[in-house]
Amino acid sequence: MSQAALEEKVLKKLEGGNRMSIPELCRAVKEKDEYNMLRVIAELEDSGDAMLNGFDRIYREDGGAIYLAKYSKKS
Amino acid sequence: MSVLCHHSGSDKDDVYFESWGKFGRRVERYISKHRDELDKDSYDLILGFSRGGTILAFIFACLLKDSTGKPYSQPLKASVRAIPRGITCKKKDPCFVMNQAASDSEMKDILINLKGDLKKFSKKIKRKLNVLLMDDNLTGATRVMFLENYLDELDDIVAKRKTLAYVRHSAFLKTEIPTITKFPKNKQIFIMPWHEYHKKMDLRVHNENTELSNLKDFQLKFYFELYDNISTESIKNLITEGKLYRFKGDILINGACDFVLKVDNNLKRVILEYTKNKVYPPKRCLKPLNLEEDNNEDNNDVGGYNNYKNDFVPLCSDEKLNRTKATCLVCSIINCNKLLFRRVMVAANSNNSVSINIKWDDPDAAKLKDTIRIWSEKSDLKLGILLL
Repeated sequence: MSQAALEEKVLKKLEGGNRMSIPELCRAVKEKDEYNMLRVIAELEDSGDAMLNGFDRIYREDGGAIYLAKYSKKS
Repeated sequence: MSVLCHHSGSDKDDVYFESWGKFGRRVERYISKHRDELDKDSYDLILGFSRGGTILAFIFACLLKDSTGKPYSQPLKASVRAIPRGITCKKKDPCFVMNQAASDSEMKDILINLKGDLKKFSKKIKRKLNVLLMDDNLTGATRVMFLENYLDELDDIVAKRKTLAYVRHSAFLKTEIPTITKFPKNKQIFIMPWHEYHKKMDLRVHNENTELSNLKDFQLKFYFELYDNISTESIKNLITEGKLYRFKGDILINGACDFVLKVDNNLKRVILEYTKNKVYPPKRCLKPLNLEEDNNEDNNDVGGYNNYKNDFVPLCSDEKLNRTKATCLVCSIINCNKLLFRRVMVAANSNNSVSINIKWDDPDAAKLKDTIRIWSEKSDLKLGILLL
């Protein structure tokens, strides 16, 4: 899938106040590579179409927190 | 705006404790379900990461030999090699998740010893190796992906490689690294039978919701002067020399901290832009959730990491700067990427000059910049503040 087509698909998933992390977006548009998705998100942030909208928090087995960014379409 | 996990309930309610019995039965069930596939893959060697990955690798090898077909009946099939060789302990490194693709000892073992060991083994069994790479409990997977990439480069020794983890946090992609078992629903931490239980630790900040919204427009870039015109590919090659860092397109992967690399030959500079898609705070910045917030550095010595304070100069220790997610981020990034910044300076031939540019719409932004100036005076890395 081309970068432009992927960007379009991702923006659709982020419509209506949806907040999604990079792994969630990968699952939603069947993209296997998280770094391709990171590149798409970076482009969408640069163009002002998408924005960071909070973080989810998970914990490693040693108790340490990790935060995963969530993104939304910019209204 | 909200976060997924709040601090309600007892700490242990969120924890899944795996027993030895369940662990063994799950591995056995996986092997019996994938018997044909495993026979076809015919693994010569299983690489196990650290202690847990190696326990898993040995059990997997024994059960493979016990319950699959002819391929694994040969004595040398499914041999196990630990990474690193010998006893391993997690290093008390304040930047553990920030600085490299793996711990120092793992990196050294992979880059210095592994190729020779695989070569000898391949020579002994007179064929290229089918390799299975195993790890036990994965959240992020930087070190595993680093080894996958490394094995792909050894195509004169390795015929085929696959990766299998025991469990991976459900927030990550299952397709990226297959697992033996699923992460349990309604739990946040998965404890293997050989793991000790640790209390949850978090960044303690004044108001989490405000903190998170403040990060929305937060941007962090590092600028390196460029003296001669140079292609992006040449810069990338110089940065990745020695394999401490790797690139995926223009994304520079450095453990838990990724940057986008841009080379601007017109303005004569190399730019590293921090990507905030994930935040892995260094352990020295985390505190058990049941402690009162306290910016006092001595009270914040979870795990004894203050031993490293000569290398790690904190930003928030003098009470002039509030501890926020943004200040913690900047603090960990400037402390834990010194090696990378030096590498980029050498690659760009930039005369030891690096500047930081922060865009942050917050009343504390000016204070943060002042504190970085003071930090720079105390640190062995000199950072200029770039106002754009």
